[in-house]
Amino acid sequence: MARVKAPVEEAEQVVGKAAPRLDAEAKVRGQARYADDLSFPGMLYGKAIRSDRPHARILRLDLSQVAAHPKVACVVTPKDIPGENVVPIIYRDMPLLANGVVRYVGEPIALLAAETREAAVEAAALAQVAYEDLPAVFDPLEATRPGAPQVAVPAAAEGGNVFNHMVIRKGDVERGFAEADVVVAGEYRVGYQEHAYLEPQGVIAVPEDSGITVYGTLQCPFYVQNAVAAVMGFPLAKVRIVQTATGGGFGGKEDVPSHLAAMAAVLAWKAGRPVKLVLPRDEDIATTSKRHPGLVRYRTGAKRDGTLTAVEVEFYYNAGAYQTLSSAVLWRGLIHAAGPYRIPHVKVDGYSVATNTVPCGAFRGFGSPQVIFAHESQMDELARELGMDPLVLRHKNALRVGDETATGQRLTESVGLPEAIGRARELSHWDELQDEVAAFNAQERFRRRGLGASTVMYGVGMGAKAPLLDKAGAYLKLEADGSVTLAVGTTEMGQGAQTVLAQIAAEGLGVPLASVQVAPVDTSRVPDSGPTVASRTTTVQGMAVLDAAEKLRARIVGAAMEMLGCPKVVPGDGRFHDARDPTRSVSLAEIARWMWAHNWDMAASGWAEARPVDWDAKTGLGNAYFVYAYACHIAEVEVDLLTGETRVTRFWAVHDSGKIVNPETARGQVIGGIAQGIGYALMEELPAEGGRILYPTFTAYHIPTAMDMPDEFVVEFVEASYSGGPFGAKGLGEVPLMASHAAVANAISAATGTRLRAYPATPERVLDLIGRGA
Amino acid sequence: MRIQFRLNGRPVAVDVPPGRRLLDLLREDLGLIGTKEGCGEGECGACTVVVDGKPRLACLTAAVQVEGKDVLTIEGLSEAGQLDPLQEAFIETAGVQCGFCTPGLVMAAYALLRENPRPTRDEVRAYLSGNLCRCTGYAQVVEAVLRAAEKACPR
Amino acid sequence: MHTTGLAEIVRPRDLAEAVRLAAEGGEPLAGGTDLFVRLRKGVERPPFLVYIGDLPELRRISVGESKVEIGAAATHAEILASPAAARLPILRLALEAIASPAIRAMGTLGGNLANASPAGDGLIPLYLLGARVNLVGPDGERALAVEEFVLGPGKTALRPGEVIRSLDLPFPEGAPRAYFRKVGRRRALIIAIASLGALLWLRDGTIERARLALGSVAPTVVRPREVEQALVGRPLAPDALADLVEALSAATRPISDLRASAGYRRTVAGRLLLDLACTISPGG
Repeated sequence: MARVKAPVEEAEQVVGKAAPRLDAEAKVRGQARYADDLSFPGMLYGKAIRSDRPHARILRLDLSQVAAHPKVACVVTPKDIPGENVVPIIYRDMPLLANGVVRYVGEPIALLAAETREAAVEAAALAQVAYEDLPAVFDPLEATRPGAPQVAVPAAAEGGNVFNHMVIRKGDVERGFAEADVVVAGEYRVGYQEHAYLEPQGVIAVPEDSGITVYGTLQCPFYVQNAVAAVMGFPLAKVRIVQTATGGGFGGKEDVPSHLAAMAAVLAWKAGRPVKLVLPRDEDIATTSKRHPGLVRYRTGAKRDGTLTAVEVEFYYNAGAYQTLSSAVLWRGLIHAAGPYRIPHVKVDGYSVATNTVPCGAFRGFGSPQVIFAHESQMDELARELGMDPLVLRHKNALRVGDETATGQRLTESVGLPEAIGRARELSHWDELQDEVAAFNAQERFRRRGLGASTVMYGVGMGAKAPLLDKAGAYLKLEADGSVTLAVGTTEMGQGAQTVLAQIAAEGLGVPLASVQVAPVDTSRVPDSGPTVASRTTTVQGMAVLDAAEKLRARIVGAAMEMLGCPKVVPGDGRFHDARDPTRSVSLAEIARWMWAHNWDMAASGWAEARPVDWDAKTGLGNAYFVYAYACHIAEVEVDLLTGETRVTRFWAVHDSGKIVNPETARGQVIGGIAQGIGYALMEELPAEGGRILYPTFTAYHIPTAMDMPDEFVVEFVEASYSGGPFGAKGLGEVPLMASHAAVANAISAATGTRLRAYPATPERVLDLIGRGA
Repeated sequence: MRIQFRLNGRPVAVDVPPGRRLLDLLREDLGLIGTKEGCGEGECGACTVVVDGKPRLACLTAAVQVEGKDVLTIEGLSEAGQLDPLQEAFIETAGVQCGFCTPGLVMAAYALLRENPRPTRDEVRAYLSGNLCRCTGYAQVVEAVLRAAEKACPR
Repeated sequence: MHTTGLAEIVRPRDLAEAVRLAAEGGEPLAGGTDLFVRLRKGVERPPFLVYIGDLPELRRISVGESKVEIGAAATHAEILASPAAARLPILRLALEAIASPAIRAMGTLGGNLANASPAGDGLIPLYLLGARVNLVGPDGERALAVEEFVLGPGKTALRPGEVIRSLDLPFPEGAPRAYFRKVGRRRALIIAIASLGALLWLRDGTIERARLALGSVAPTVVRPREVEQALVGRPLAPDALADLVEALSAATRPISDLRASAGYRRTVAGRLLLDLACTISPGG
């Protein structure tokens, strides 16, 4: 199968090129300033006093010893909050500080600020809290039973502890199963996944004459602005959020910084001094969001020739004590539950349930990896029942242009999945690979290799759950010397957005990338641009940048025409040439100087909103997302039959994310996502007991090291262009993680001969699979 | 307590409280914020510095332990402004994403190339296995180290 | 929780002063890779620390005729770079498995021993080689076999004020083959779930003598002497050892913890015997 070439002009000079990252030099020099690297005169160190009970009434809170500590400058309880005691996210159920009742271990009760970090820790330990324990529940299924302790704040729940129940009802699933020749069913379980960004959470709130400014490691500055304004009782205009260099996010810095920033702001305001709040690693792991644990049940039917007829899904996510982002996470899980396949009859029921545990939130994939583990396992189980090659089964059912998704959305363009599957097959030499693995297995006594594939789709952007947030603003300024300043409202957290957006600006302006400088993200620079999530930055923010670039370029071209006295100019070699006589040209610096001298407006703002989407909550049908990205991954694993130890030996990843703006950073996104998927499938586990995370450390929570990565990687892109994205680009960031773990899981199942039904596939669990397969 | 040591090639003498960690001495007292704290218990490698040519975790080192020693931090690698070949290679291969683990990775790689100027791919992976990175999946990091080694000492 | 400060640290001029300070209640500090983590967690609060890591008399590694003597404060990296590691392959295999290069450049074999963790990779070669621990204290010097020195997890025979001076690692007779394997959920930077080290003396593919040491499966490292005996005279091949897998498992007394269950540890400890049989080729 031939590689699909994107139908875009080959004229692009900057987009599509592996430009070095703009932020790389400061980072390799150790000069990039992350949250804890900043200091302000008079700065205090903040600390939260947290609940050590999963569910309790606070009978008495005695902070007299805390306040008496000689280095404590300020103590905050709910009555000191100038505005509302709430962290507004999607709902308003979560207080900034517990309001008489604590609902999870680690919930903040009070705050302090001290002169030193050490004093803050010491003083926090002096708080005296008297609790009356309340019955607690930790398992989402138990929490839905009658008589279960009420965890959810009733106003934020659909009923009891069920925060949300969402459905898809397409066709008639019973008819679909009746038409099936083969039906497979299974139950799959996953636990927490911790983001383990290397930079812990951290913010610094600085009170100023005009209000308050918060600096921090964060993904979503406008969320933080909103939360700080709410707790301070300030108009939004008095709250400014500035992003520091951000050492990884992966969703973990989507909503959590709102909580931290609001805490720091209240402390700073009361103390009248800047307050830094940086979480030590154990506090970060124990008290901030993670991927939802899930219980997922599937039934999938197919005809003898492999044509899928029906899928029925029921899944439960453990949301933790407050809503935070769970409704949105659940929705994405719902929409992605049927996979990237053409299925006429679909029935899905998803539940997010409150328990007395730390609130779960956003994590790369956002509710989809849990159901992907299940649907991709089901595809392999079906393939086995049918005696079909798993790649052939996937290719046969893969969505194509003109097909309908599980929500009845007709796909009108940009569906590169069949090509991705075909290309993955070619790159891996799939048929020969099977023989190679079989030969290895025949020869080795205590080792087995296995191959696994997965295919996924990803709805780019916020989708119909939150279309109001799918927008972005940009501001481009031509400086008087010809350099260009770009301001955007979405953040760089490591994914390379800054570089990609600068490439889009440079391409749109017709100037070299080196001319473009990206300003730190600051809520006072551009309009609310929504959150930096949902793999939407290149697409939506990119369109806003392009909008600004086109406006500014019109003026640059106009100036060049006036300067050259010609009716048309063409760019080239960083200059603008007279179209009739290319030897006559002006440089961008000359144009800028001319515009400045002639008092021209040298700035332009850009705006973009995502294409419209719609969705009916009753049926679960509608145009859920404006476009989808796709991927096909293939993993080879090797299992030690004596110990159950498993390693991923080789990996092939083919993605359709439309036009790839920067192939080198895109490759980094893919390999990094694969690493997180390998971690999810093989080793990442955070045991909890009684709502308490037992070992919140990197000693116990293992993420992959360099040794745990495959020996060989092949990464390629098929670029099915999207007409609504800049130069045809769609989203990429989350997709690699989503696809990778399921390919690894299928490879383990193939190697052991037994279906893996729970993550992580620790040596002990794999040894158990081997035992049952023997 | 007064301690003396060499820091990035220059002698320094500083007063430190008895239990000060090297990490806090560097970051808070000397303003060298390039050395990062990721976990504080020696599990992530973000605070890797090079002491007498060997990699060392600044979070598990008391300041007094470097008395009389030669300490190199990320800032010292490009002191004259000129990037070290390793730093250049990390830029060229996009071996940097969020960048928080990068100084530690670069310092560990620096120690590796001192010990073993032409490591194999597997030797690089093994040597860097104490430096956690959550963004890159390490492939472009390993390529950067191999590229720097090749440049410094072509076969 | 997070504390930036450590305990006060005193730097003795020499070993004699270190011993005096230890007798006053100071806790010896060498590499700090374990001690600082414990202090940070607050599980231990010594009045002050005695920094012995730079005392020359504790850092010497001397290769003699019949043994290697390794100063208690020699780092794993120094040992690995010394002739000692070349002469004792089992020592090299085990020390290379410790944590990461930075930790190996900081941590010491003396510290590994004083820590007395059954998961300590560095302890396995000490048990296999029959190492002796040389101690110095207020009442003079004494030496103990490693098995007498380690009493349980975190427990040693160290008396108040005593400091580990060095370790004597006798060269084994002949040229035994060395094996070390640790099991974990990732391939680096792990504390072993279970580990097996071995010295095997082979002739024509047959085991003439064997020493085994199991880590992480009992309160201390274990030498399963019945299995060592039973190996004698057998060919080094998985089929020939299969019936000893159970016996090796039976030599363990594991616990369940966050890393694995007791049952898994017991099973895997035994099965590592088969890995040993495959890893060491009888010929070379």
